[in-house]
Amino acid sequence: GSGLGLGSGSGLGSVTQEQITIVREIRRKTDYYDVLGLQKSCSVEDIRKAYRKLSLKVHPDKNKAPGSEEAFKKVSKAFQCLSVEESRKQYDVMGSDEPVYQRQTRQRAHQGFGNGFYYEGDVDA
Amino acid sequence: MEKKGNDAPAIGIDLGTTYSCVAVWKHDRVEIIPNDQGNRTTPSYVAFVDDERLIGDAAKNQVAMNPANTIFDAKRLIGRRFSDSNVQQDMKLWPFKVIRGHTDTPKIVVSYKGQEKEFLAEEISAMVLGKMKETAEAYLGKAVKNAVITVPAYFNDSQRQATKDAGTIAGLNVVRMINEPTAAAIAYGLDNESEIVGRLNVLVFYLGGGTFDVSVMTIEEGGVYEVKAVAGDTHLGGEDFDNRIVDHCVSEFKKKSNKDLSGNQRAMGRLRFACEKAKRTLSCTTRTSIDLDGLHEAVDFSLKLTRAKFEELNMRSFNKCIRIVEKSCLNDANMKKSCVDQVILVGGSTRIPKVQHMLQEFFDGKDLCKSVNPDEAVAYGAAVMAAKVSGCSDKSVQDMLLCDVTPLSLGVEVEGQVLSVVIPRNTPIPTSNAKTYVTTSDNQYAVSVNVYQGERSRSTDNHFLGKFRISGIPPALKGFSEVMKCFEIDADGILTVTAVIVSTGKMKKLVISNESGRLSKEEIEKMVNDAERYKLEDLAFEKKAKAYNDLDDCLYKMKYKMKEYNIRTSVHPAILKEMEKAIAETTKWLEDNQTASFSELHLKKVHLEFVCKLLL
Repeated sequence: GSGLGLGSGSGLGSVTQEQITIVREIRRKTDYYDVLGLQKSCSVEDIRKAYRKLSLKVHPDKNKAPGSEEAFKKVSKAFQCLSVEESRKQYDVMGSDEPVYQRQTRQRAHQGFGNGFYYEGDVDA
Repeated sequence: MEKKGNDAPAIGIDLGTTYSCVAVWKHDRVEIIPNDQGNRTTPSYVAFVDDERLIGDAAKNQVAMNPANTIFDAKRLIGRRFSDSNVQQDMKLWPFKVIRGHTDTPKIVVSYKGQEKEFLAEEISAMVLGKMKETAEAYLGKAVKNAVITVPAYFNDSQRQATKDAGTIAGLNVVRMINEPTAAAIAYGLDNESEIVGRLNVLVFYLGGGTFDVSVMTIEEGGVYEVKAVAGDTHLGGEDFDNRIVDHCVSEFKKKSNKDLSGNQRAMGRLRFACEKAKRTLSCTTRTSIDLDGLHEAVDFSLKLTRAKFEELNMRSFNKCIRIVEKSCLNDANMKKSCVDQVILVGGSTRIPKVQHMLQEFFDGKDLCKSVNPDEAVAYGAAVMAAKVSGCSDKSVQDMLLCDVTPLSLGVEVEGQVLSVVIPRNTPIPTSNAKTYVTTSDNQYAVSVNVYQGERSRSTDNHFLGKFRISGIPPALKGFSEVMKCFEIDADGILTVTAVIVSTGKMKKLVISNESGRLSKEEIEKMVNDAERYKLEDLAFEKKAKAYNDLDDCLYKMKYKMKEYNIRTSVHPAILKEMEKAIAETTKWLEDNQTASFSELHLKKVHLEFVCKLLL
């Protein structure tokens, strides 16, 4: 993050042990429900609450522990996936930590839509 | 790095299309800093006259006399390509010259000190930012380094990057860039801190001089600002309303006198100025007139303009605003209009009664919030953010948290010119996401990654951000080699793209290339030096002008003294003659040498003072 490290000479350095711990914990987790600290049966409101509580704790503007940006991204990704009924269902069915998006692109690949690769030259030629 | 305690605090700058505003957190509150004219906003104008450069009020005041060398609207050029249809359209209305630079970047051509000079929009914006920096420095009595700059929420990546570059060129360290409506929401939130209980859904309606933004967000007790969705138009604002009136006047003039004045830059400049004034007047009265003597070919122009006519001329734009509020913003935020607790008006153009009326009607008669200052709220919010980022100890500032979103979807082009979205719009930032793609031919060796931003499904209908090529894919059948493309958006909303060949781990980042219209490090460095040089030139000019005045002043005083009785009686006649001669000679010299250098002027003054020391 280029935007954050620039406040030269300001006294932002203070990081509590609690902040370091929460960042470390979130980064270790892979399951979206785990990341948010929720059960699979939780309600949408639970998800929203958990997201709000966690994002306040790990947002890089609030938490200067190393890796807080990654932790925040993980939390918001989990929220984005689980807060929408459709993507939550898909996630529940697939039940893996693999991002939903990747699967979509593979599907398209099977449909024969090449996905992006510009043919740039043949090595054998 | 620097000595602590001696540093000026970080400032907040609202870099507007037509006006800019600077603010700072001081004595536990935000102060809007007035410029050297005492104005709390400064026109975003830069003018080049014979031997000096003017920025702000001074530049705008002389626009009618010097239309071709007075630059405004840099924000409508920044981060855009020359071939952009908006740029092409705007060029027809600008009295200054814009040419196509290399790789389709627009360049502004002015004549300065008898030479033709080309500037990028970044450089012009940097001059305006420099002026704001100076304004703050004069007020704080310290050199300012760090700043938060605001940008329209709907600015794309190129426009954001270019604005950040402008900050760098102005010698500022841009600690954060925030969106204008978000900044306005901070101003609202801090002002109404005690009244916000629980959660509040707000819609910020920002209609400024050149841009339009809508932002739906929630403000939570304790100062958590979470943006749900943004939408807007980076080319819709007060200036467009002015232009509609100008167009109307031009056609009226043609009707009445059968003359076309659109080619007369000076007349157009005067007309635009008068139309802007008429527009402002019509926000508080229902009719006004535009009177310009000898506008074109010695023909006078006079037109009565009613508020109704003004509204009719701009109805399409007003409708568009409401449409964006409904279709793009509320829908994206998944919020019913009845759930909006507060509609906040920001930007000078929200003073237009019709806009207020239409918006109120859309919200079923709900009262609109006009408690924040429409011209200053954005700079206010930026100053709060600046205080926060630079570690201000105030509790309400420290507790505040901003969660903004990315305004437009970002993706890569896949076969068939299809845009494959990697980060959808309205994703909270900072964020990152990766997608894996496969090769489309056997033994494919390389891929080129074309990055676009926008909402259209055909890639080329979107804004092209840049491209790069990654090679070295091991030979394999098509569909078997994978390349992962990772998009990362930082807290400023700026994008970095990385591509990795999955099987080898080879990685490549999106290089800032000239093709993408962005500036390289070297180019920015050069511009920083240029900006520094222009500033020195300005200083040198001021110094020279002062020396000229000093000498003129000195001559005046001495001539006056010579007439005094006691001098004439007490000084030897020969010396008197000598002094008279020196004064006469210097007066003549000054008349003949209007453009003399500082040292010449200074030397003359020293000499004069020496000869006439009896008079001192």
